[in-house]
Amino acid sequence: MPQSWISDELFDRVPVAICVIDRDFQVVDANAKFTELYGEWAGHRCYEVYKDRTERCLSCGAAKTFQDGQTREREEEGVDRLGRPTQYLVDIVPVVREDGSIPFIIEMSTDITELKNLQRQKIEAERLAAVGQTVAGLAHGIKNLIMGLEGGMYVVNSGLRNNNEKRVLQGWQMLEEDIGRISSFVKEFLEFAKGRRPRVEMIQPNEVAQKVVERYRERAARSGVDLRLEPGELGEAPMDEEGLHTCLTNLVLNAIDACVMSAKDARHVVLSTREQDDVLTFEVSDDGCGMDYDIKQKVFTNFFSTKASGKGTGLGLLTTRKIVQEHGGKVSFESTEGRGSVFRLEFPRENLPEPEKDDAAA
Amino acid sequence: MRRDMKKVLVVDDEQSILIYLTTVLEDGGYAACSAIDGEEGLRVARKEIPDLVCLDVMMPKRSGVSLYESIKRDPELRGIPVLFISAYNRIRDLRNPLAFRKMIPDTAIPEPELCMEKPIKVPDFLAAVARLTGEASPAEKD
Repeated sequence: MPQSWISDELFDRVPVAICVIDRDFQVVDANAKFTELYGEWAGHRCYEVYKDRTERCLSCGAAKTFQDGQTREREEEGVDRLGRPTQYLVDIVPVVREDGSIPFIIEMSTDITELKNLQRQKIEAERLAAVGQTVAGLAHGIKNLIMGLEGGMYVVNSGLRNNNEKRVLQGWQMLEEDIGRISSFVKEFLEFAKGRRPRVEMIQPNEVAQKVVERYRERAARSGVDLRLEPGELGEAPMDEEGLHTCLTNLVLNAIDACVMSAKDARHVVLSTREQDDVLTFEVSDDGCGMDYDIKQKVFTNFFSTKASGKGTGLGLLTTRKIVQEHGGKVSFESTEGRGSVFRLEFPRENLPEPEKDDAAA
Repeated sequence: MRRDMKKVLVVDDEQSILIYLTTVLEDGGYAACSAIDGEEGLRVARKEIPDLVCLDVMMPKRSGVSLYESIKRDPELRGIPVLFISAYNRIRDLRNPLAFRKMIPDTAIPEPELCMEKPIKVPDFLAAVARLTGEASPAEKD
């Protein structure tokens, strides 16, 4: 009885849309769920049913499976029987004869439209939260600047009141410095807000890491810090070279600063790279001052900087995170006060953007 | 310096804020000393034994919260009141027992005496300093 149920009923009972396609891309059979989702299929080709197209898709997964006999899974966009756009996850499985020929393939698809909508909503909510954080961070930066300006005015007035010329000059100097800070602050803020469109090309990420280390090795040495690269096996990857350069530069400079702030004699910064399970990882570790609880809480806050005034605007890590997210990756860190920090960029290959050149060729 | 003058230590990583606050304090009739980061702050506090410490929260080397913890653990210093002054958006968290305990879980460390947000208002600041050092407020003296 179970055997007959499987052969007679399962095909129409599974909550997955299944269809069988021949080498001419004709749909020759389909289950109830498929009909419910995509409507009439008899006598139609797959692209007509799934996508309302009049000709084959440019990048056709079924054609590839007919050619190489491989099972593949991909996300596709289509049109349901009422003409509404849908998104589905489809598994393409070949039916292989004893002689190795493939007369049919079977496609099993799951509707993920709702899931994709939720994903989009989540990204939008995160974007709005980031805008809120940016505004809060801006307010924080402005409060500091106002305190500086009020301080300058107070010291000038106090000097005038007490006939203390030295104090008047001191106050003026404070005002001048603070106005200089406002200019660079605004400039940096605009640069961050404007951003730049990533230019994605196939690059060798280790070469970028090498460039960054070569560029800052001498500067690190002048501060008594030994900066070196430990490159692992890393294949080519579609990335924005300038963006990656910016990220690694920010992390390396932060690590050098962390070493400078520490009182130790021998200080090291190591940039290492590796690839494991299709995830590209870049790590910048230092044995500098490390971070305590409240600094760790504010690491990714804009305009939060522990560096002396004028030396840090507090946008470096935020910019880094923005660029990494544009590549579908993430930034994480570990830090122990007094022992040092490790900042890690992880890029799963499957999330990396499409290189621009391929788009043009398609 | 008059013998009865109260002494206030200001710790902030910004030179301009040190000049500002020490000038306000001197004009208000206090003796002021300063330190540019948390580590120097602890050294100066041990040397000068001030009547009040004004602390910024975010500083290199050692944060204000970490310096606060050291002051409150030091038998010589723990009686000195601390006034936090920061532009840190959540400065009030330091006065919120739950949030404060996340930063310093040890209940042996008391919550800080007072927190003020940057930019300060000079009369409010002087009134707070007077109260924390047990001085009559400068307005009353005038």
